[in-house]
Order: sequence, then structure tokens, then C-alpha cells
Amino acid sequence: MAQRFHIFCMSLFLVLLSAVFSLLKGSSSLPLSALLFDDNVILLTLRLPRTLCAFTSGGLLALAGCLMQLLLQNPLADPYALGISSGAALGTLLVMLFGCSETWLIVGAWAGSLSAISLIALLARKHRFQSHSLLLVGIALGCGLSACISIVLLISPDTNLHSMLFWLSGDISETQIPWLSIVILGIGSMLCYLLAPALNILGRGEKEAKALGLAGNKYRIAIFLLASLFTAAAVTIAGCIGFIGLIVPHLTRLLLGFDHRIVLPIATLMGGSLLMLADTFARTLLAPQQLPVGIIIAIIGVPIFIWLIQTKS
Amino acid sequence: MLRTENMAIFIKEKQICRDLTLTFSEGQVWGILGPNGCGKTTLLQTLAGIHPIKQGHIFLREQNLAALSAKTIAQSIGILFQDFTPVFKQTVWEYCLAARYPHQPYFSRESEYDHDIVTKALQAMQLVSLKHRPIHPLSGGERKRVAIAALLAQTPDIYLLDEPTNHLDLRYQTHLMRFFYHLAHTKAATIVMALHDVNIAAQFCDAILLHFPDGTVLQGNTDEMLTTENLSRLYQTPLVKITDEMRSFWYSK
Repeated sequence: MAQRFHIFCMSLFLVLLSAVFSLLKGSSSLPLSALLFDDNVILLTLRLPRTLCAFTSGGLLALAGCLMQLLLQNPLADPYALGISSGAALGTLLVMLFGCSETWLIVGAWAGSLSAISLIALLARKHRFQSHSLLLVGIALGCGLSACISIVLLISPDTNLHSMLFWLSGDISETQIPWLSIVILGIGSMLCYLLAPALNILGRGEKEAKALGLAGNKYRIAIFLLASLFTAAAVTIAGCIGFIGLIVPHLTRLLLGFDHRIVLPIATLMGGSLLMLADTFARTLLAPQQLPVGIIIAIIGVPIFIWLIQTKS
Repeated sequence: MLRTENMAIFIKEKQICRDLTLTFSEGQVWGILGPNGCGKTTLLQTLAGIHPIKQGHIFLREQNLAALSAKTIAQSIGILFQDFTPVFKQTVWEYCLAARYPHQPYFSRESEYDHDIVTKALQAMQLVSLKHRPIHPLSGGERKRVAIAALLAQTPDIYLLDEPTNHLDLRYQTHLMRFFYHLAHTKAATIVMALHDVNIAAQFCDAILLHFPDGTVLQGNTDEMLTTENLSRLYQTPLVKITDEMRSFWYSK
């Protein structure tokens, strides 16, 4: 118990450290005192929203990854690799295409990610969610969705095109604080914490879970809804960023074991920190030029993903 | 304790049994014998409330199983599955502790009491030294014992065991069978196990259910059921019986 408390405090400290780092570093570095005393314009209108965006989407993606892995009974499940992020992106683009207001973006994204994950679950269930069938279905779905995204981009009027492309590249360049996603992360992670005891046996498969008294469908539907909502919320603020949902749950389980009452909160914090740090590097490595944060994550994520597939088989 | 009335089970179109009326009483060890693919696994899963029944009823302490929640059932009935490959990496301790799920009020943590029960289950399966090891690299027999320890940690009073002895060496087969025999006869547990080893069934079971591939069954005391004629018909193989002063053994001709 005491050990868990220490780990929780350490993760909070890590979040704080990455937040400070993210707020102060950039194309122009600020001194530490700026955080405390100045009403710095750069800090408040540029850096703060961006840091919050990074933390929120990182946390949401890590949480979504945790849930999807249990739901699909496969540790390789990840919102990006399975095309669920693409589903959310397509939904968002359609909403943009029809010129609906910004509040509808999340609805479109949620509809997209929920359809994608339901389709994957239906198709891969026949093969008991084995890695090859799950990943093949995910890849196929991802390709199909990319094609749909291209079609939407092609038929979009030029006035919309720029903002669509910019957002699609997985870049955190919002200049507004993502209140809606922060609320979703806050309430969602509380709900997940309540579901955590059931999650510990859900990953064992349907029959085993039922034999231990978890009748299933109610929980499964709740987790499907939450996982797709988290993906949607992350995608609306940051576009398609891959591999956070894969790396972070793995690292967390490696460090903490399999009890989701501790894995879920820590994974959320670690996911947030990781994306804040990656975003800071993306802004500073080639400053003043900015790299999309997706590139930094992919450079870290792809080797880990390949390594995981290798060790699985 | 657990009984069925005119039960019929199907896997898709295939009929596993019909009009099956069974009574598993406290303190009894039942063995289910039958050839491969006759539906022993499905029968056990049906008794655990996992597989649906087509006709008839199952009663757990005179309450209809269909009307009970999965959690209530899991407090009384535990099932050992035939194969066991956890997808996610976890330690022996974590795996067994999670089996306390049906007994925990939803928002509480495991108590000292739960920890004691899991420790006793690990001791019973001689796994204490492997407690903090991950399950994945363990051998087939060790994993089987982990699965059994998790079942014991669930503390049901009806144990449905699907081929509990496979993967186990002779020492642990005997250990396991003696353990469950004592559990039935001293703690009034009900044990129902699907077996392939006729000689183990003859040694440890009080009652036997012979499950024929056409869906018919024969049930009764072990001595009445385990005859050379019945077994030869069951397995479609001529068998020979040898008897020493105390026990009988069968082998194929």
C-alpha cells in the first residue's frame, strides 16, 4: 500500500516536472521565475494551452489503450494501430465538411471511433482476438479509413482544406484550452477507477470472467463506450498520435503489475507526461521550426511496437 | 446441492444430452467419463451457468440457476477450465488474488482474510515458492496448479473440474486427487470432474456418469458403472480388467 502511494507521488512529481519543462522550453526559453511572477503572454496564451492539450491527449490515449487491450484481450491493441483513431478522424472531418459547430466535432469523432472499435471487436471475436487476426483486421480497417479520409479531403472546399490537413498531421497547435477533453479525462478516469476491479478479470476472456461472476455485457459496453470516447476526445484536440496507447500501458504494467486499480491512474499520468515531453522536444529540437509531435512519438513507439510483436510470438 | 431436471444441451445443432436428470450431493466426488468430443466440457460449463441450456432446469440449493446473478453463482460454483493461457503478464499471486472477486464488496480492497485464503490455496498446491513469479514462463504442470490454486482461492463449495490431472506428473496427480477427495469427505464439498483416466476414477470417485457420444448417459455408483462391458462400449475399444486384493484396473487389449 505504502509502495503504491510512493509510486503515485512519484508519477505526480513527474507530471509536474514535465509540465514545468514544457511551459518554459520552446523557441524562446523562459526563466523559472516567469512561472511564478509574470503574466507572460507567451506563457498564458501559447504555452499553457499547448501543455494542457499534450497532457490531456496523452492521458486519454494511454487510458484508451489500457481499456482496449483488456476489451480485445490482446496486449498489442492500440487506438492508432487498429485504425480507431482514423475512425475518429474521419468522423471529425465529416463534421468539419458539413460545417457544423465545434461542439459537434467530439460527437462526430465519438461516432467514428465507436463504429471502428465495434467493427474490430465483431470481426476479431471469431478468432478469439488472436494477434494476427486482430492486427490484420485493424490494418485493413485503417487502410479503408485512410482512403475515406482522402476522399473527404478531395471533395472539401479549399477554405476548409488547410485547417483539416493541419489538424490531421497529429500536431498540438491549438491555442485554446481544451476544456471539454479535460472534463472527459477527469470524469472518465474516475469511472475507469470504479470499473477497475472488474477489469482485472475481464482480460481473462469471456468464459473465465463469467465463471468468476462477471456477467459481462454491461461492463463490456461501458468500456467500449469509454475507450472510444477517450480516443475521440484525444483525436479532436491532437489529431492522430500513435503508440502512446501501446507503450504506456505496457511500461506501467511492467513496473506495477496487473492490478488496474493502480495501473489505470498511473498510466494516465505517465501518458500525459510522455506527450508533454515529446511535444517539448518537437518544439525545441529544430527550433524555430516545429515538428509534429506524432513524429517524435513514432520514433520512440515503432521500435517498441516491433519488439513487442517479436516477444509475443 | 446441485441438480438438473430434464436438461437438454446443444452446441449449435449438435445435441450433447437430453432429458438429463442429475443430483450432485454434498460430500460426493463424481467422475464424468466419455470419449473425446462427447461434450463433457460443455456439460461442466453448463452446470457452471456459462453455457445456455435448451430445455430443463438447473437448481443450485433449490434455486433456479438461470435466476441467479453470475456473482452469486461464482460464490458457490467454481470451474477449472481445461486449458489456461493468460494473455496478460501477471504473477501467480496477482492471478490467484483476483479469484476473490465474487466475494468482495465492489468498492473494498482485499482484506487480510483474502490474503490468508490465497496463501492457503498456494500452500495446498505447493506453489508458495513461485508466488511472485510471472505465470507465462511456468511449465504446463505448474500453470495447471496455478489455475487450481486460483479455483481454491475462489472458495466455492461445488468444484467442476475439466480434466484436472492433465499436464500433471504422477506425484501431483495423486496429490490433487487426494486433496479433492478429502475436501469432499471432510469439508462436504461437491466435486464433479471430467476425466480420461478410468483408473483414477475407480480409485477416487464415489459416483460415475458415463457420457456416450449419442447423448445418452448411465449414472450410478462407481462399482456398478465401471464394468469392463460398460467401459468397452463407452470407448469403443476392447478393455481388460485386472484385480488385486483391493482395486481393479483396466487397460486396452
